[in-house]
Amino acid sequence: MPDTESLPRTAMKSIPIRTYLDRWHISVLLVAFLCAIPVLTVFSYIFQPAGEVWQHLTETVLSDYVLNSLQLIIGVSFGTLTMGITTAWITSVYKFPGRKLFQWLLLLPMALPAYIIAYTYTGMMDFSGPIQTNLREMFGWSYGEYWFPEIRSMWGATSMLSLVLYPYVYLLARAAFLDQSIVALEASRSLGASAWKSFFKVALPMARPAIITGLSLVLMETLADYGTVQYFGISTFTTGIFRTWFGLNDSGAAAQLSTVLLIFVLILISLERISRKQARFFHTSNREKRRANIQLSPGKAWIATLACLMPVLWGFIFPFMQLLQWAIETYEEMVDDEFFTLTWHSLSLAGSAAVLALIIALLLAYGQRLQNTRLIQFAVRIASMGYAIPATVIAIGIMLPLAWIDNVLDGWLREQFDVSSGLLLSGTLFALMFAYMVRFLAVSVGTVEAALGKIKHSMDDAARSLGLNPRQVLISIHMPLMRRSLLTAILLVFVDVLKELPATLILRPFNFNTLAVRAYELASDERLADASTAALSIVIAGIIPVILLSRSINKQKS
Amino acid sequence: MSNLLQLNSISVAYDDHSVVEDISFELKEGEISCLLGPSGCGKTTLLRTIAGFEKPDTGEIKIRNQKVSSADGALAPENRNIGMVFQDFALFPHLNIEDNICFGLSKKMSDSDQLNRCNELLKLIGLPGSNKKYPHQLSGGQQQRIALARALAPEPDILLLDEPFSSLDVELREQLAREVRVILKQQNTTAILVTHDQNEAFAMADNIGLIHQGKLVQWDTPYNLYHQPATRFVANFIGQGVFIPGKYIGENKIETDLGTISGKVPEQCKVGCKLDLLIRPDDIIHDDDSKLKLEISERLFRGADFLYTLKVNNEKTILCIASSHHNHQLNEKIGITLDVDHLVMFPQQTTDDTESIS
Repeated sequence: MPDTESLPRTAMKSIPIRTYLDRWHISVLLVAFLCAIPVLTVFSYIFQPAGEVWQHLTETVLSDYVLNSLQLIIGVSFGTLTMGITTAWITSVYKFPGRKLFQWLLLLPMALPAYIIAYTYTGMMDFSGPIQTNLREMFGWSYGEYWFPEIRSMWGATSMLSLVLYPYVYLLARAAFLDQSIVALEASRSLGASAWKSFFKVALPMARPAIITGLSLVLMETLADYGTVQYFGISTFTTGIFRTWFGLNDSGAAAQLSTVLLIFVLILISLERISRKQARFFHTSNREKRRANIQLSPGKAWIATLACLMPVLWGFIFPFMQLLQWAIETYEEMVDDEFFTLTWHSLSLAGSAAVLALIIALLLAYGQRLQNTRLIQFAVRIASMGYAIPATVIAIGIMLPLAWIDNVLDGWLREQFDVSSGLLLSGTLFALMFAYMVRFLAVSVGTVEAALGKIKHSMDDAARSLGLNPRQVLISIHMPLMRRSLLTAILLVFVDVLKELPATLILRPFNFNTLAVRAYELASDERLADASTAALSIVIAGIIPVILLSRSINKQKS
Repeated sequence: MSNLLQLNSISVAYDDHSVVEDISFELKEGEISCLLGPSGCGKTTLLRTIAGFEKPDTGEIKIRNQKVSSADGALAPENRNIGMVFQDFALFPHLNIEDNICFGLSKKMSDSDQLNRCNELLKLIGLPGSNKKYPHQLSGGQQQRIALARALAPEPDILLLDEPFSSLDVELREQLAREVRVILKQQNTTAILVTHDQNEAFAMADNIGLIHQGKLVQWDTPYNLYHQPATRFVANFIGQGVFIPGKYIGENKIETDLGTISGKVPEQCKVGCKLDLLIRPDDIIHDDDSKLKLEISERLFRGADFLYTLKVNNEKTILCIASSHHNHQLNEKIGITLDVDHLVMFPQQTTDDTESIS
C-alpha cells in the first residue's frame, strides 16, 4: 500500500495557475489571428486608392458580376427550397415505398462537387451526348431540326448548383419537422385547417429558422462556387477575381472585388445569426412522442416516392452513371503514372490537412474548455469563420501577404548577402495548407467542440482530483471518449480538401496537380471523358461523409 | 491532534460577484464534516476551492500545515492529494471498474499491489468481484460506491463529496449516507460533504457548517444546530418551526399568546422588549386534558402520526405532532402543553435587520 506521505507534493509556487492561463490564451489567440489574416488583408484594400483596373471594372463588368450573382442566388434559393422542403416534409410525415432508403439517398448529391456535375451534364446534354442521341433515334430528328436547351447558361448553372446543394435545406428542414410536436399539427387540423393549410400556416413557419440556416449555407456555397460558373461562362465575383488576378495581373483590384463579395457573405452570416437566435423561440418545448407517419393512399404514395426519387436521380444517379461509363471507357489510358502522382498528391495533401486541422481544433476546443473566457470564445469564433468565406477570397488574402514577405525577405537577402531566397512561402505547399486550415478549420472545430461538449466537466475534475494534469486528462480521458468524433473530423476535412478547387488552383506550387485540379483542367479542355476517372475518385471519396452523416442522424433518432 | 485542513478567511468571487465570503474553519484528522445550505449559497464553490479547481481571492487554505491555496496562486488539484466524489459520479465510461479504481494509484505501484488495493476496496464497499464490469452495467447506488472506492484508492488526505447522493432515489439516500459514514470511519478518512439535504447531513456528519449567501452562519454539531440555532436563518432552515411573538415581562418570563413561558432571555433584552420565540413541532405535546386549547386549521395524516397546524391567533399558526390514534377533525379545538426545555428566541425583527444574533 502506498504511503500517502511519499506521493509527490510539488511546492505551490512551482505551478502557478497563471502560466496555464497564458499559454492557452496565447495559442488560441495566435490561431485566431492567423485565420483572420486573409479577411483582414482583403479588407485592408478598401482603403487603397482605386487603380485604373478597378475603374475599368466598375465601368464595365462589375454590374454584371452583381446581377449575375444575384440571379444565381435567387434561382438557387428557389431550386433548393423547393426540392429541400418538399423531400424533407414527405420523408418526415408520410409513409410511402422506400421512405427509409430515401432518408439517406437524398443526401447523396452532396458527394458531387458542383463543377463535376456541371461538366458531366454538359457531356450528357451535348449534341453527341446520350440524351440528344436517344431523342434523335426515337423521333428520327436530325441536326438543326429541333430545339434543345443549352446547359451552359444561367439556368444550367442554377440547376446544377441546386441539384447538389439542396441537401443542406433538406437536412435542416427535416430535423426541424421531426422536432415539431405532432400535437401542433393536430391542433391546427382540429381547428378546421386543411392538411395543406396546416403545412403552410403551422409546420412551415415553425421550421423557418432551420430552413433559413440551411439556405444561408447553400448561398455561401453558391457565392463561393468557381468551377461551375467558370465552366458555363457566367461572370460572377469569383470568376472576376480570377480574371483580375491572373488576366489583368492586378492584385489590388482582385482584393477589392473580394471585399465586395465578402459584403454579400457578411449579409448572409448575419441573416443566419438572426434566424438561429429566433430558433430558440420557435422551438416546441413540450415535445410529445412522435406518432407513426401518415399512411398515404397507393396513388399518392407513389407520387411521394417519385418526388423523392427525382432529386436523387438527377442529382446523383444519372451523373454518377455517366461518370462511371466514361471512366470504364477511358481508365486504361488515364490510369498511368501521372494519375498515381495526382492521387498521391491529393491523398497526402488531404491527409495532412485533416490531421493538422484536427490538432489545431483540439487546441482550440480544449483551450476553450479549460479557459472559457469571452476572449477565447471570440477567438474560436474568428478561427472558425472560414466556412463562410469563399476559398477564392481566402487564397487572395493569403497570397498577398505571403508574396510581400517573400519579396521583402528576398530583397533584404540580396542586399545583404547577394543571395536570393526565391519564393519561400507563396507558391509553396505552406500557402496551400494555410488556406485549407482557414477554410476548413470550422469543420473540425465544430465536430470536436460538439464531442467535448458531451463529456461532462465532472470527468475532467475527477481525473484531476486523481492526479492527472490537463494534458494527461485530454490524452487518457477525452481522446478515448471522443475517438469516433475525432475520426469523423479527420474524414470530413479530408474529403473537403480532396474536393476543393479554387484555392488549390490559385495557391498550388508550379506544376503541382491534384485530382480536383486535373479533373477540372481536362474538363475545361473539353476532354470530358478523360476527366471522369479523377472526378469519379473524388465523388466516391465524397460518399464517405454522406454515410457518416446519415449514420449520426439515425443515431440521434434512436 | 493537529488540524488536517485549515481555511483562513477564504473569499471567492466571479466577475466581482461575491460567492464565498470570509469563511474560516478547521478540520481534524478523521473528522467528517458537512457544508449545508440552500442551492446557490456557495457551498459547492467552497468545496471546489478546497479541491483546487477555484482560486480564492483572499485568505489561504492549508492541508497538513502546507499552504495550498491563496490569492497568489493555487496548487493544481492533481498535486494536492485530495479525493473527490461527484454528484454524477463521473466514472470513466471507457474504463472498467478495476481500471476506474486503479486510475489514481501511483504509477510506481506494482500491478499486483494495485489489484490488491482494488479488491480490498471492492470488498469494503460490498461489491467484490465486479472488477471487469463497466460503469453502465451497474445501478446508480453501485456506481456511487465505485466512485467512492475510486476516490479512496490513493488514500487521499481529504475526501470531498459534492452532493454525492442527490442523483439517487430518495429511499436510497439516507441508507447510503449511513453506509458511507461507516466506511469512512473505518478508514479514518477526513471528509467534507456538501449537501442541501439536512437529513443527509445529519446522517453523515460529525460537524455541520451552515452556509447562507456565501457566509458561514454556524459551525456546530447537528444536535446544536437544531436545538441552538445561532440565527433566524438557521432556525428556519433546520427542521420545522414557527416564530411566535412574545414580550419580556421580567424575571426571565415571557408573555405570549400561548401563555407565559420561562426561559433565558438574551442579555440586551430589557423588560418590555419584544421577542420572537421558536416553537418546533416537538416542543408542542398534544394533551387532551390541557386547558390550553387551539383550533385545527390543517391536518396531515402521515401514517405513524398526524401533523396538525394549530391557530395561535388570526395570523400565527404552530405545528403539532400527535400520535396516529388522536384523530381530530378540522376546526376542532385540541389541548396542548408546551415542553420547551431550552427556549430559542430572537429580539423581534425590525425590517432591515434580518440576521440578528441571539
